[in-house]
Amino acid sequence: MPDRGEHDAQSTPPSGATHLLRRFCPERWVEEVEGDLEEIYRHVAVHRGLYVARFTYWKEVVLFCLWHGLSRMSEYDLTWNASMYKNYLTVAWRNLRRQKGYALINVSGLALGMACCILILMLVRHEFSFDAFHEHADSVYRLVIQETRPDGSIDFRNLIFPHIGETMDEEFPAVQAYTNIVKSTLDLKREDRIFPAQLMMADSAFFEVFTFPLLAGNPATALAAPNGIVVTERMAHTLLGRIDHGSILGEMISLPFRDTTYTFAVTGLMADVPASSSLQFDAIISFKNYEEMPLGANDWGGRTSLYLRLAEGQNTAEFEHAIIPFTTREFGERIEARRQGGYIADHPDAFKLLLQPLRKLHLSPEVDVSYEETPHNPVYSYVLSGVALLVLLIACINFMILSIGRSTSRAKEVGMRKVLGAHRTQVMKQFWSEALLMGLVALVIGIALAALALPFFNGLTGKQLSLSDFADWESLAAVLGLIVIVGLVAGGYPAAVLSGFQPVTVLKGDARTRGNSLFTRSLVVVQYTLSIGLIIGTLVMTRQLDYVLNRDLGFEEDQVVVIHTYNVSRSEAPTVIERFRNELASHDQVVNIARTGYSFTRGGDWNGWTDEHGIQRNTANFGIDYDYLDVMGMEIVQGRNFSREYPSDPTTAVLVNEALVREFGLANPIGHKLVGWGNGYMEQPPTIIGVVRDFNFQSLHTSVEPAVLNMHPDYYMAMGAMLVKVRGTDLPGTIRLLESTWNKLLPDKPFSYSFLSDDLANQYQTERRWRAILTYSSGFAILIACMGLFGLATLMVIRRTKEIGIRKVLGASVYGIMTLITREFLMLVLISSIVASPLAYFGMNRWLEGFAYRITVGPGVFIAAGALALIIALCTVSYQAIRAALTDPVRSLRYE
Amino acid sequence: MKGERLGEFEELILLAVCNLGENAYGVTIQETLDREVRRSVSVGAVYAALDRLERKGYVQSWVGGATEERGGRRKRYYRATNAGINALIELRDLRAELWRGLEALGLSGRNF
Repeated sequence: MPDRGEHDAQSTPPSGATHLLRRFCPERWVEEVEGDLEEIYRHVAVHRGLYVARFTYWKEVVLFCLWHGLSRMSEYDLTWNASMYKNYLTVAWRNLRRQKGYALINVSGLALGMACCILILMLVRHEFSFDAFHEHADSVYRLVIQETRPDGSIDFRNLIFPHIGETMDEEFPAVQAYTNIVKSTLDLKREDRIFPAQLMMADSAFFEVFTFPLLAGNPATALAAPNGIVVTERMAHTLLGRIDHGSILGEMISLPFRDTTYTFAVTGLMADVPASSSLQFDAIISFKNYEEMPLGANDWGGRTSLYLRLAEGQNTAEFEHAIIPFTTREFGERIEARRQGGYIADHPDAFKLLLQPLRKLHLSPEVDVSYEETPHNPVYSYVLSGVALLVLLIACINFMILSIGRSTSRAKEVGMRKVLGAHRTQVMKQFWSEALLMGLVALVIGIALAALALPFFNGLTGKQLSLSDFADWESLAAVLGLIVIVGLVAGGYPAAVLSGFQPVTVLKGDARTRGNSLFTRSLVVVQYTLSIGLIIGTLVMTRQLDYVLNRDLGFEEDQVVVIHTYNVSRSEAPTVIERFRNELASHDQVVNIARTGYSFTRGGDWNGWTDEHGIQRNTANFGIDYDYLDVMGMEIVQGRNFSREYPSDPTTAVLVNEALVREFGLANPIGHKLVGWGNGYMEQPPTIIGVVRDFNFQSLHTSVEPAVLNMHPDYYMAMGAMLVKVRGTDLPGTIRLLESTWNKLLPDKPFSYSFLSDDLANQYQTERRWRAILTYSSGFAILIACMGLFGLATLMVIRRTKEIGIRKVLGASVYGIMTLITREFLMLVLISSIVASPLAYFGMNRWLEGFAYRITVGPGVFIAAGALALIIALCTVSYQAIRAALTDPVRSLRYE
Repeated sequence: MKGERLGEFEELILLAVCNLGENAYGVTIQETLDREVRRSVSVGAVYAALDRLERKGYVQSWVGGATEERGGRRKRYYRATNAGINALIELRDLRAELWRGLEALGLSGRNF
């Protein structure tokens, strides 16, 4: 195209490429090659345009560099370097052997840091890799309901009506496949073997939505027949005793459910479910059994998790918009009921169906799960990674401090090398490769340590990680990255310092050591600041946890046994509890028994009641009975409790808590008629007969919210739980008694119980895990930092041998010399704690803000952490200090 | 042939250099390969081969001929040496001889 014309012909080739060329092109050719390439560039520019020309030029340059960059090196560098590197390795090895202690401290510090890092990276990677193994992972979604509460807050509900999937599949072409999922733990039987299996029910397209490879059987038909069952290898092993891929199909397994025993034939054998799957199960049967066997939960008619596989590239927002009329049609009644009940706000957007991407499921703790693994809050992963990097940083700093501290002993070597013609960059390369070598050794040890600590770590985190899950290229790359980072960070500064020695000075024997420089000291300060920060974090967490666990909750959680009675129906409940009372009345270990709709932390019921200003507010409802307050040790602050003397109490009266009185703005609560949700089953608005002192029915992350306690017989859906206050002097005996009574009264139902105090403590499991991880991290951090300090003290004592000798000769006391040596280090630790305190204060305050009830962080924590670090540092240094102070001056002065 | 051998690519480059006479330098050699042999190669590859050929003593080079279109930079011209031409001839003869052996067996080129 000639009309591209003069302009293109005049332009110059991209200068970046030219620089690259000049850097790598053999010098004898630079001019000619540059000329050739420019000629080509001009030619292409005129005929095919500027962009093609630029691209061509870059391509030619890069190819040229690839061709000749290597050969240019080979002319000079490679052969020569190979022997030099060999020499570096030899020298490095000799140095390590000569100073075993130093090498040990250095390598083991790094190895510890790396082991911490590896474990935490494994954990983080595990959390982020959830559900990625499904072939269609990116186009599978869970259908969830987003409700807007009257107060504007958003709530997600995860359970859907069972028929929605099929209807959507028929009506929306974008739905490629769907599957409902429900799950319960049930006993599967085969002859005399029993396997308590996580039994899942799924639609026949399950294997089109999810990718769980079958070792035997046809995924398309395995779940088509109602009596088919797909089992995992693990279950097949336990239940069938063997796995023969050929003949396992057709084996029979029986399942007792309620009063009937169902029989299933194996239609598929599945590899065990990967640990990184949100769906965990041992066996799947067809959803066609659901009518007969309604497994799982119920939330206003919502029962199943519904997964949809949409067409590749389907826009989710469009789809969510397209199903709005469908939602109105299918969920109309429920929406109306929810609105009437005051659960959701009064605008059309208050009830929406949304698509939750499968890949995000595990990282969205705001959406509940019923049958999937508990989601993970990614913030924790970020903070953890930060902690891991801090520990590694501390180890790297160790490495730097020790390398610099030891520089005197290497100074002559550097001088000699330089005299013999070594360039500064060569000396740098030498120390750099030494650091990398150490890093490599540390890595190998670190991996071994991580492997050893893995079972323990799994216990700490509640995961089942194994090293073999991480044997892939990505992990290899991460590990290599780790070495390179460690090599660069830890080896960089020493390399720069050591290579900077002036040969004349050092060879004269006048090596001014740089080990004491300001830089080294600031490194120690950084190290201890990080360590002390972690210690403060641990202390604050421990104190906060103690606080939430020991705080007066407004009721007495001790000695309350919760018997779970979800499987006792509403009609049976009154008789059951009456008979229980009668059976146990005479027993001196049982104080009292009460009935409740939900025991704390085991579910809840939220409804709308109207406050003084006519605004509907979200309120917790508790179904209780006459003895509830007594069993729970709650206090009436105003009015009276429900009483058997007033027969109309159950149907006309409610109790409320102080929070309700406060937030509803009730001036005279007693006698107030409470309007709202209860109108559904109560004939008239109930009267408040008593106010209960605030009690924390939720975790202490939230403050006490308004609550209504009622005992209307129609309120209960099922019995929920029986609360038994026991004397507690013979707990095992009492539990046996309760169990035998249960078995006598309800022989066909399993007995399951917990202690209320345990249930409450379990709310803080995440926090406990955190505290444990932080405790270990800070332990390792301080340990590694101490290794560094110990090394540094050793070096200092060696350097000052003569000085100490002279001081002793002139009459210095042992104590004086110890002070001399330890003083400096203690100063550094002191400075660190001063720097660390405000940093940790801000960090921990952010964490504490997540609690409605929290401790105030006083100076005590900082003093304690500082003192702890100081004492540890003192112990570390004093060994060397004492040794130095006790050395016979004759020996130290003769040493020349 | 003694120690030095001529690779296939080197042979092509050497032939291109011979063909171009007095105008053989990077760009023209690359163009010739592109046009005549339908092989698209980078300048880097051309120089790599020329470098090997020069070390083997099959080509000679000299610089000169700066033009404005190449930013006033000089070109490196190449010319085949006698050794180079001999190597080409030797290679051709060797091949011809081997081909005669094939024809004796009744396998001429078209029958493959």
